Amino acid sequence: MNKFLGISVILLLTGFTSCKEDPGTGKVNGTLTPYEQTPYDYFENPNLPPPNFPKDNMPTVEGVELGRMLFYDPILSGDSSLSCSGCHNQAFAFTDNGRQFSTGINGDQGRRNSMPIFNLMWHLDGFFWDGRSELLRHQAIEPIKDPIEMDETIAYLLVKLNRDAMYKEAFAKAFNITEIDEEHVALALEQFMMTITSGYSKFDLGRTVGFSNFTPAEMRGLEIFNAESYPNDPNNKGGDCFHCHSAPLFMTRALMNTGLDSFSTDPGLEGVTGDPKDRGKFKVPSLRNIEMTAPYMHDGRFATLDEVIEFYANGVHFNANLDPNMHALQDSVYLSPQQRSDLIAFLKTLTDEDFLNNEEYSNPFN
Amino acid sequence: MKKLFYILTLSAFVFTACEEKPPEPPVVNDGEEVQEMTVTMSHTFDGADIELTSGEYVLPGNHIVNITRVSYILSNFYLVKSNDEKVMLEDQYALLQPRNGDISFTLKDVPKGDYKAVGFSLGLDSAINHGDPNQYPVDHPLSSVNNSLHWSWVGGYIFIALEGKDVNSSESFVFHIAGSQNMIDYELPISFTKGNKAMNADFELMYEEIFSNPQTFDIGVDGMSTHSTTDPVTLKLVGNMGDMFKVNSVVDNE
Repeated sequence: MNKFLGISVILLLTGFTSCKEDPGTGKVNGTLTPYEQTPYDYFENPNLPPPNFPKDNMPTVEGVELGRMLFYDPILSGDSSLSCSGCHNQAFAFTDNGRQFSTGINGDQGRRNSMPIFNLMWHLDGFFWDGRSELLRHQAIEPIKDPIEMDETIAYLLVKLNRDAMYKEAFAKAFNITEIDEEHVALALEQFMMTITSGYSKFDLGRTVGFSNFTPAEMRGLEIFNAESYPNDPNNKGGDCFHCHSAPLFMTRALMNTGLDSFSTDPGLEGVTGDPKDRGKFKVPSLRNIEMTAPYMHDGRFATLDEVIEFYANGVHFNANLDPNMHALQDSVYLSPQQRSDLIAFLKTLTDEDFLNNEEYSNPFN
Repeated sequence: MKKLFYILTLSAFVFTACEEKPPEPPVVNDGEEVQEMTVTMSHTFDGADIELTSGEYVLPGNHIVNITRVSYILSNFYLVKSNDEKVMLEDQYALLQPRNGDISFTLKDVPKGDYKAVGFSLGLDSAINHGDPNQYPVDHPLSSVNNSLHWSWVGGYIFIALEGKDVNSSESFVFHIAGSQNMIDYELPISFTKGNKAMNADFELMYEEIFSNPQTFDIGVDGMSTHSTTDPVTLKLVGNMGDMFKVNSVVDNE
């Protein structure tokens, strides 16, 4: 071949291929061909906001499946006895089986109640009760390292994963990496947890049919949930729930002090910011699947929904950091036994059996 | 030598082909060039920037307060040219919520011209107000996930939320203004010539106006809470919000 023509062709090829994005580190299974990932086919639920996956970690079929494996695998803990699912059981909306505090591998207990896992892609103010992890991928690693939870070092976890042929192949397929590292463990867990959504409850169906599927008690409960409370008007006593727990997610962005204590022994957000005005502020959890996530509050102090309602009706403690939105509730709200019962009936319409039994979220090793 | 020259030329062509072209200014339907205007909103009390939560401010009745939240939605933007032609900036919304760092917004598709006024509304028209918030992606001003200003499917949006505490009594005040009848329209004088460059504008919300102009609003007398669309608290506050915005400057984005 003409030498000049050869140089030109090579130049053209190298020049134009250099415009392409590097597909990855490439060398997998001894070849230079990287795996291609399949975009995760998220079914957009009209009952929920549009998807909000992190743009730098869009879920793939391979990444989600890997994250699911990691989530259910006790290999993540120091003695390989406890997986994430040990304290986040799908049947309890991914909380800890009705326990107030979770028990780690050494028998130690935490100080906060295990949080549910669903609709996390719409959490904009951090993760954990005090919001200390900005991204879910950051949160995902913390319980692994925590000595009172899974008590494993990342270094040794990576040794275990890197000598496991199943994980070597799964990480290669998901991320085109030959050496498993902390970043990609976190990204895989984030991908799986981000895909867990809940939006097919009786309430969601009710919205589409004018709540004709509701019982009279559930309908009365809905009205109490959405009604204002006017402390000086005995005829207008709503539950005032919707301000902080509005549909569709039944939560709000801000971390709030709801007056659980006159002085919170748990610093809450103050532990993150160092600002005393943030003492006792915690994330506002979603009320979806609330029937399944007892006990309640950041420290699981209330065993039942009755106790929670009694707190909001009569037990709010005034304190300097009490959120202004608790204004109407701090002077007590009268709800009759029937009204409380109706309110609970409505709250139970937020239970989503489809989510609780969705096989895509279940243990892949079973 | 000729071949070497050819190869060098080819190299230059091939590798410069990788460079991104500079973005061209967007063009509206009639071929007119348009550009963006980024508006930064200052939130002030008597001319000083508000420090949320920690700052102390004196309201009528000598109530010393912390301001914990100011969140609101703007819509119906338009500009008025010096020849009185109105340039509608359709389907553009702004969410201002300083506690989440949202203190600026960008108006798109602003055509060239000499302008003398800017208009917008605090709140939303009825159709948008009662539309499905699930249609908006999370980074949209009307996403209920983003703004925490949506009253579920029954009440539409809160147009403006003002929250805080009386430092001495430790009582809270919570004013949530909603209802399409309480949407407030503004048209503010503004003078600039829009050329080819993007522009920056500095707007200001003067918090003290809400409690003083034209009527004095004393939280100890008039009330510390409203979520109603029609009660006297709402009506008085809405009546006081007509002059709370001003435009400080509009300059080319250098």
